[in-house]
Amino acid sequence: MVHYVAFRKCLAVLCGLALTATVLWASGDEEGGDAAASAGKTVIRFDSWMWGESDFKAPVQSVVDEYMRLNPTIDVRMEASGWAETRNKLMTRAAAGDSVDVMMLDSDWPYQLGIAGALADLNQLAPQDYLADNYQASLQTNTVDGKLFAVPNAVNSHGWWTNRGLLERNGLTVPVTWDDVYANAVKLKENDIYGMHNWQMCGDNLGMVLWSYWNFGVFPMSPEALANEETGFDSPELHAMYGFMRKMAEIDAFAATCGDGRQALYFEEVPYLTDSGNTLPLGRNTNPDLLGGDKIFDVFSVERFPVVEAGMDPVIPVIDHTLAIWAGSQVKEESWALVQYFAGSEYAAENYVKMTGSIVPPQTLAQKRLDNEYDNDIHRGFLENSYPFLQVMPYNPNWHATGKLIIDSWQASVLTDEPIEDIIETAEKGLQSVLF
Amino acid sequence: MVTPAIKFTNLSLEQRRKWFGLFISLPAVVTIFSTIFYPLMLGIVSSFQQVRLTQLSDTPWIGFDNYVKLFNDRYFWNALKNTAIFTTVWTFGAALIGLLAAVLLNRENRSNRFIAGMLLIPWILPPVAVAFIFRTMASSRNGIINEVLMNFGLISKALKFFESPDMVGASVIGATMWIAFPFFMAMLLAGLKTIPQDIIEASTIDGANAWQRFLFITLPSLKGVIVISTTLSVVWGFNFFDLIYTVSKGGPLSRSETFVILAQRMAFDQADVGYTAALGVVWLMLLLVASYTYLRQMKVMS
Repeated sequence: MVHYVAFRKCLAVLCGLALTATVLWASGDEEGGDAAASAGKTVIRFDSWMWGESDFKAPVQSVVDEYMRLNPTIDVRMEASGWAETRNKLMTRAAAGDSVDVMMLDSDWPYQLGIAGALADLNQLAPQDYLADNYQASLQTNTVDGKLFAVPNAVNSHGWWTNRGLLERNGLTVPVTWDDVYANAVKLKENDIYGMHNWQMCGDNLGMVLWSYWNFGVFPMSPEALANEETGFDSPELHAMYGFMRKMAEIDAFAATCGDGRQALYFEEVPYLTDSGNTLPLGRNTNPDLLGGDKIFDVFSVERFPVVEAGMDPVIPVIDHTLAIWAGSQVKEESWALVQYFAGSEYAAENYVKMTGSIVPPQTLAQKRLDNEYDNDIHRGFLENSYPFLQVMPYNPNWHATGKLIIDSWQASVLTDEPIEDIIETAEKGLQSVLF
Repeated sequence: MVTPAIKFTNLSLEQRRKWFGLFISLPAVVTIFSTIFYPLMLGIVSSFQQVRLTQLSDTPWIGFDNYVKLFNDRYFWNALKNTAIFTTVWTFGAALIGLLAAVLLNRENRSNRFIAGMLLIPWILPPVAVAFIFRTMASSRNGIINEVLMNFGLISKALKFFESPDMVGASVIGATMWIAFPFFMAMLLAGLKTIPQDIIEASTIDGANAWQRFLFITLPSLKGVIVISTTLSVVWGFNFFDLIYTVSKGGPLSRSETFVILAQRMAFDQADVGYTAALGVVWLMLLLVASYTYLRQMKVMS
């Protein structure tokens, strides 16, 4: 009898717990949405990693608030996690058939999410005049099989940040060719200054270093090469490039860092860095004595990337911060209106893009700012020395696997004594096995 | 014909006890099945399928292809080598330091309790926090370790602890040992308290010196604790992610890439869930074999 009573009590407790859990689950997440819906508002969920970063939260929120003020029937719900986690989170959510209406993306994320069917085709939503006014290489980078998966909310591709004063103090000039970079490095090393920086001393993000391959005339995984079942990797130009890197390593010319190499630029340990406009606010905050306020414009300029021979045009891969819309969104048109406001309005240009240091995507809007905000050697440098030479990033389904092999080969050329021929042969074999 | 319903009250006491036992164990069974056995089975099945993180709705059966790819992948063999070396070195290194600390702190007094408490801090801190501390301390730019070494004239230029392929392995092992040794210290200190004092005293009267007492009394008495703690540490070491990912992400040149870092890279960066599942199965097998062999060996030795 004792067991029977205990059994009934247990049953009652379990039923109670199950009931409570069910009620909590059913009422939890949607409460806010229901409230907004009952107020007659359209809810747009917006995931922006920048909104999760203290440096950028206020400007992002400012644009969103202004948009909601102008559109009282819209309720934008912000979400964020760190930059590094956002890609994995969005990939996992897409795999589960769930996402947010609008998402801020970076580098190859639109490609990866797009080929997974998680993103809406923006050609169906965006006005043609808006797209025509945008950077075409950016749009093409985010286009797969004719579908446009994302548009830039800030043009963020890299420029060749240069500390002219540091060069002048060492009796040097801005390098035009790779030979100049080496000659400068030899001279700089005499004064304990590094001659170059590379983002991928530890990582494996090919997008961050592709510029160096391209400006040595090496185009790994270019569409032309892949169409001929070639990798586009092993070439005389690559041997020359790795020979150059080895030569630089032998004089200890690389500013070593597995972490954020920007520090080396901000503290004058290296005269150049390839980076987006984001270095502008970050540099000001990190070393205000040297770079605070408008002082940064007296220190840095954005110059042309070095090339093999003087007179050649540089080639610069597109890496933008973009906005995309979830394919499963029930509010695509409303979401597009928010995207266009965020990526192309005067208010966003003044209150968000300006603060990030980047260039506003619509080219007419960028031109309008040339006489004031962009009238300095950094922004003009981006507009005149970098962005005319943007080229579509050659993403493919094996981008990360091949990127790992290529970056490893680069690291081997600067961090080991292994013969260059062996390094290239190993990487080439790996690329062939992954790609074909 | 209607089958009469079985009423709980009609059952014998023995049957009631049986049903009641089954009933109260049901939540635990469901929980264990859904959180351990189901994911395990799913992982094993996925290892025979082509599973992309971005295309989970289309997962064709591909037999042993993922295993063939795995065994032909130089990054797998590199990760296996790194995992084995790192785990072995940091487990036994941390166990030795932990044992030394435990023996030194075994005497009951206030200062020893304070020191033991302080030494537990690396183990209590989240590994990500420890990783950031280590990365900052070991930085080749103004890192305190390099500054101290240079000030003492031991080095002329900064060492690249996590940036040089030749140093990253040793640096990761050192940082992990720093996190892991307090665990051994705590376990062994608890074990030392259980050794009867009269045995120690008797051996002292019989003329045993400190080293002999340690070798023939203390160490054999701690064997159980050592076996459990090193086994746990090996399993933990195989799955240790936070610190390595934070300080080096497995680089440079994959010199600090272990199984768990490779799994993260393959599952999320390369979205190849099938390959990662195959890696997980091999990883599980290795752990089972290693644990079984180790425990059996210790049993034989006893």
